[in-house]
Amino acid sequence: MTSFRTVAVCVAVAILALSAGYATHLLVGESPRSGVSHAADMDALWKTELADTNGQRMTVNHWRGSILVVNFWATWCAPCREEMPAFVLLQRDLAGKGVQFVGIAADQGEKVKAFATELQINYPLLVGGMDVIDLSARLGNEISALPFTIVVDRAGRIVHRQLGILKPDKLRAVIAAIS
Amino acid sequence: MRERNLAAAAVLFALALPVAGQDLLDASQAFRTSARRIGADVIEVRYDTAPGYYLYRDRLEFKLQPESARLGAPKLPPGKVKEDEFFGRSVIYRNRTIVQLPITAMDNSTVTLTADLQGCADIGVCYPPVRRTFVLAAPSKAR
Repeated sequence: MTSFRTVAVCVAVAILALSAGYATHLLVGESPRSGVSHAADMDALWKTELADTNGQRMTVNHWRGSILVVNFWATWCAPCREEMPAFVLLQRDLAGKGVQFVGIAADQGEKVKAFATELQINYPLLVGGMDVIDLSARLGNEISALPFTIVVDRAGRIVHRQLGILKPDKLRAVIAAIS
Repeated sequence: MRERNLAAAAVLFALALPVAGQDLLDASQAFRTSARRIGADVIEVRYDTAPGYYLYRDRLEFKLQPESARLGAPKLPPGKVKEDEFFGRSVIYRNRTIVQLPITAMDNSTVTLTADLQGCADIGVCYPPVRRTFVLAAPSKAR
């Protein structure tokens, strides 16, 4: 009986652990081992020119050389809205270390502006149409879902990709590794 | 007995994570959509949403061509209310959802239906709005 009890408890613990692992797998994201992304993909990012929430045209290349956190999002995406308050805090805390957040929204300008005001977003938000989703796909967003975030080092290499919410602790660790 | 219950609970917990244990589906697989005319004046749109995914009721939109064909108010099932701290209150659909669209096709001809949808996965990602297009011939008349 004791052996059955031991086996049952081990099986239960193993299944729970595996399930928890599965549940977090997709949210953990991917840090490419080489740290090198396809040059063509990054060219597409650097050349991207979109209007910000004030209607001013900006090119992503403007922030090249920073540790760049590029977050693809939309106001119609609940998990996108959920993770952004943490980005505001991180932008405030890490600005002195050369970290720059940039949000790229697949959305309408008025909706993005209203949301930015509501959350007091302290980093640039660029607004595009569905072509923004295509851009994220060229950067590794294989199923074109949101939120999708990449972390780019000072040399312009993608060091982390994240589909789903990027937790602050994880992002801090990724940034610390390249600071 | 307690150990057996624990093991059973663990198995159920694992089965309750249908999305988590596999790669995420693309939108066409997550939200399978079909449409058919079930009469001269009714189109039935069927959404077979994969386990672990859901559609927003308010993001279902329909348009009909040609101009001479008119679309009535969609008959939408009640769905389930989803409360989200960051998104507010929404009505969502899971699994199989059937929507009936009353139409008036003036000459009983072929019509083209565009059906827009948008949904998310429970694991915490959302898909951009998707448009499906269906060319639907008029049902043959009984003689």
